Amino acid sequence: MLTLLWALPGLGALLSAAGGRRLAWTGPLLSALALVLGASLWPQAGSLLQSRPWIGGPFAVSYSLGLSGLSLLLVLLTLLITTLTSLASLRQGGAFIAWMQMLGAAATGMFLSRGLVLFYVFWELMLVPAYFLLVGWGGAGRGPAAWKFLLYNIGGSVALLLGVAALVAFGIHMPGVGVGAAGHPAAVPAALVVPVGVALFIAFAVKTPLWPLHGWVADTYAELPAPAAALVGAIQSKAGLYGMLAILLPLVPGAVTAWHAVFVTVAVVSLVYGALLALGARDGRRLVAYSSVSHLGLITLAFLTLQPQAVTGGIVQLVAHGLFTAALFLLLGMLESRLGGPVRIGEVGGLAKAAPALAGGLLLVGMAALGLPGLAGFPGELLMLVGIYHTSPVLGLVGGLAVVLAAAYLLRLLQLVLHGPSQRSVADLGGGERWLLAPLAVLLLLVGLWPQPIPTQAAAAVQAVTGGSAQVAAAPSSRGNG
Amino acid sequence: MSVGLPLYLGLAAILFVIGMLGILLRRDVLVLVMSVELMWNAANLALVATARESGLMGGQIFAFVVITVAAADVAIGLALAVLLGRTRGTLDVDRLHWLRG
Amino acid sequence: MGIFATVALAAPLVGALLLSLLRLPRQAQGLTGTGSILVAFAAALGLALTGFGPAPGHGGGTDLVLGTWAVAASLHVPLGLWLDGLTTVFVLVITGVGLLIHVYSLAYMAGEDRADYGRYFAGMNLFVGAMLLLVLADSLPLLAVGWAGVGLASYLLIGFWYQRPAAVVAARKAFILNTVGDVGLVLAIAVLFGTTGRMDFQHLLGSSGRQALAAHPGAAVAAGLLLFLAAAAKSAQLPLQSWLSDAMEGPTPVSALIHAATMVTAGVYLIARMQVVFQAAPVAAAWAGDLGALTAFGAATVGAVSYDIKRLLAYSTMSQIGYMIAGVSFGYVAAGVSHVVTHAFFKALLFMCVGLVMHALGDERDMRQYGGLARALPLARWGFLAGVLALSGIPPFAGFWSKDAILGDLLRGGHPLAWVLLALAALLTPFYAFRAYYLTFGGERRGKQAVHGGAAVSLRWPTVVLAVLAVVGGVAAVALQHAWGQGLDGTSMVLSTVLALVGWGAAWGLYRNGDAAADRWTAGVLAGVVRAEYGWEGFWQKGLVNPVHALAAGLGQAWEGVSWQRAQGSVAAVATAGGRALGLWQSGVVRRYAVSMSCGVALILIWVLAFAH
Repeated sequence: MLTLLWALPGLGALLSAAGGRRLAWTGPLLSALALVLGASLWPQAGSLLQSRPWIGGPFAVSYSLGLSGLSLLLVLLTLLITTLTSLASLRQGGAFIAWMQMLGAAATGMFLSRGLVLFYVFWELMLVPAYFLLVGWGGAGRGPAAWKFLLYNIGGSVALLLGVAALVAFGIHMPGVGVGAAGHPAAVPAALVVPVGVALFIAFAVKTPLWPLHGWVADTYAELPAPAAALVGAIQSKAGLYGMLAILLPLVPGAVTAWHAVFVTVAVVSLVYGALLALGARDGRRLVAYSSVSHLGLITLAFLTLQPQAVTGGIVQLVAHGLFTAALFLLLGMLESRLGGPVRIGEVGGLAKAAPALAGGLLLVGMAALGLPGLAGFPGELLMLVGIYHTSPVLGLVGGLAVVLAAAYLLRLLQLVLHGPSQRSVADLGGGERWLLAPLAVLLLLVGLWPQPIPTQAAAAVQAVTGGSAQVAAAPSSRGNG
Repeated sequence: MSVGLPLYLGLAAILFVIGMLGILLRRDVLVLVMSVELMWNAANLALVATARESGLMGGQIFAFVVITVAAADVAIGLALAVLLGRTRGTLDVDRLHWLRG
Repeated sequence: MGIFATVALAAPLVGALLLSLLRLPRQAQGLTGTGSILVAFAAALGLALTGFGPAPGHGGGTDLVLGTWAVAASLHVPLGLWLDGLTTVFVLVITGVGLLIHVYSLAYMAGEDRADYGRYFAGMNLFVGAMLLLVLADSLPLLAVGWAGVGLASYLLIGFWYQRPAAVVAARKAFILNTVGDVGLVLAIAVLFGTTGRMDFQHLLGSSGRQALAAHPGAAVAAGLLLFLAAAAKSAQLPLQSWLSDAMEGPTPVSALIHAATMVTAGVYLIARMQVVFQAAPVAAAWAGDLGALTAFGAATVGAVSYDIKRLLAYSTMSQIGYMIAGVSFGYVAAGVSHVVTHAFFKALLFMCVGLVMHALGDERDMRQYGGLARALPLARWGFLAGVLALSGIPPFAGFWSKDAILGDLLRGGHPLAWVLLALAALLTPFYAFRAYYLTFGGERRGKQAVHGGAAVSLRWPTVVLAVLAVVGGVAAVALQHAWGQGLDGTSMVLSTVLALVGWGAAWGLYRNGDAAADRWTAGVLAGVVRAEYGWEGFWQKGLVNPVHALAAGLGQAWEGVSWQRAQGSVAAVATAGGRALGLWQSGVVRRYAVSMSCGVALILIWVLAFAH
């Protein structure tokens, strides 16, 4: 049953690879089917687990999948984005769709896997389609971009392999968050705790990406075709943060404590540095790429506090970030296809007059991205800032600074593209494009106005990560009453 | 009259070294294949001798496996040699270095 | 009671949704936009009649819980409406004045094409809806939703004419300064949650929240200052005031809405609502109150030398909001909120009259081009006069009753600094107000534009209604003060009257002929500095905005683009060279491989034989 969730898009990949353009439609259809299946499992999240032997021998590895609340949220996000981005790229032909589906399938499998080895296998599998999408369909600068992407990510993979191998060698086979998690840290020898933890952090920081391992992100997002950028930007970054939440924090807490200052510094620098780069960026894709570094740095910071509200907020923001990043890249792609080139800030303008629907969409998504209350970016941001402030007021202020900078750079993007004297006329969104963006727009509103389903599903994961600190958070209120 | 294990192992070692020297010193592919065969058989001799000495069957069984593999090895090796001679016009391994990294 | 509140909140939001999604014909757009506010106003009247609600400040109020917004571990945020007297007053003002402004807009915006007409009303409805959400929310996060919705709507409407670069810049500036305030609000929520463990008003304003804040005075001060930062951004107070005067780039009815019914009063509402914090933190209250008073005085001085009539009104708003902030910060909620009510009447009226003048003169805003308009535009003239009298605090017009209440409370409560600043502002207010009146309507025509007299019905009636309210609206202020337990103070009333009359007298002495020559003193250097907001703007631009942009550009191009690329390149070069070096080993010569292998085997053998025991 759970296997179907990743096997359906996988089958879509095979069919569209084999059938070419004629069978390209099977990809989005099958991932939509998997999406429906996943949504139907909503009430059962947290109780589904399947497992069978896979590799025998002294280090027996089983093929185990489990659907926890957190997995379900990320799986649904992945399948939704996979479906929409595949639909958006139907014209690219079968092979393109096949790679997209494969990326979606691998990410789904990774979020579901209840074994570290299986997690690693799916993790590696994600790399392949992204690389080929970049090499095969990228823009003019795709060569260097692909090399950077590959080198950074393979470096990260090596770190992950070392970390995972160490964990498995010391008898830990499962991610520490999710169905059937043991709920206690790995019995790694004291001397190895920090090396293992740092290796895992590096692996996840590359994928997320965090400063100073973000070198690949701008070129990759700028060169990928827009729907592929939407998929990679929305999903692949979640893999790194999911790894941090499910593996690093619960399994090697010793390393997180010992190197807390370093990890927090990385997160804080990402947050500020990404925001500044976004403020100085000259084209839309790079602006969104750097804004992701900033956003994801804030989420990392929230996770590192191990504070229940902050972690909950981080998870809500994971979902929200996936939604608005995908929407932003899709919209930029639609704009690019009209302009016949990249959206260079300052060289286009006044598009709001000619294309009101496009402008409205960009405005909605941009506002969601800058955390406007009432839209998806806000609940997570609020909870994160509340939690971060709770642990350290100074870090809370830094987080607030990033929010102000986010408003500055996103408004710069919106205004310079949409407003001002109109320089050229472009066609407005067509019917198909509207329907493609409508689900994302509705979800951005829904998550903003009624975020509660996400914390509900994430509660178990938050509990697992923060452990007993839920009581700590409750303490001030009793202290206040006393 | 039984010959002691050390003598069998000594012979095996001598055969092995002859085979190794053949590989290191000769340049003809056919001779290389023959040298490899010699090394296989050195190993076989050691296996059978130790099996006989210890009374366990494992070594003898393994010797049969080696004979089988060696046969396959020869078949493939000779076929390769023939093909090399036909397509490259030479069997000199020092000139067959197009796998240089 | 609950149903009225829900309808009042839902109607404008539904209107905004319909207007932005459907392609309605022009009449239907106006009807939907105005009708939704009419429904909301009717519901607000129903709300007031069925249960006005208790006075604020005692934690009393009804929590109408509709659902759960978010639960995260010990954090529980409900989704619901909070009903008490403060909410009811604001709902009445927002929907009532909002309705009049919508009606006025029907004709004022008639020149726009169909799509823009719809966009305008959608923005206006969103504005009113978000403001209603702000005052009806029963928890701080939900309040923040309304708070930011107001910011978004103001952004859309200030930048309504988005093809004008000035409008775009003004809109962005307003939004970013408001985001600073939003972050202040979010951090205030964080502090309050850390101190009390709650975010909903039911607990926060009740005895448990009061006790928790009393036990943590440091946190209360932090929360109070952060709340004031939020309020300062929304209400255009020092140090975040500078967006409001630029916000005049929007259409005039938008200015009326921002200044009278929505937006700027949100900060006053926030401080009035969170009295519990300011009572626990007198230091924060003093900072907020004194900064409010300083804004009131400073903005009045800038208003006194402005040429642009809309900017003059903007400074007047800053100044009047400063009164309210000072009042509510020091705990005089009845006085502060009653000034919100009367200010809504006369400021909306003043903007409508200015709108009439601008319509007649082809959007001219410079008062030096006005003069002698009294005969051509009688409605604007009498309306503006009523507004000016109310603004100046001349008894018995509306503004007097509320402004005097604030001054009296501060005098009795022992806040000398704030009182002196506000008294000076009270002296300046009639001066700049009557300067504007005389320069616009008195004397002879100075500009060359033709005057298009006569205004549409929907422009007239709202103006008339508001003019009446500006004259007699003091009744509402006094009634409200009475209901919330505040009496009148004879000494203070006499003092306020004298201040107002002196200010008027100075303006009458200088400008009664409407002669531009009398205004020559405003061309001086000192006046110029004042007109530039004392160089405040340039200070921020040079001290903060430009360096940040330079840093961002430098990071992006010099560091990320060049140095970092080179660093990456050198790593890649090392890797490539290493690969080349190792590649030499892969000679492709079989016999060399055999030698390597033999050596390797020999080494392993030596290691096994020599060391492995």
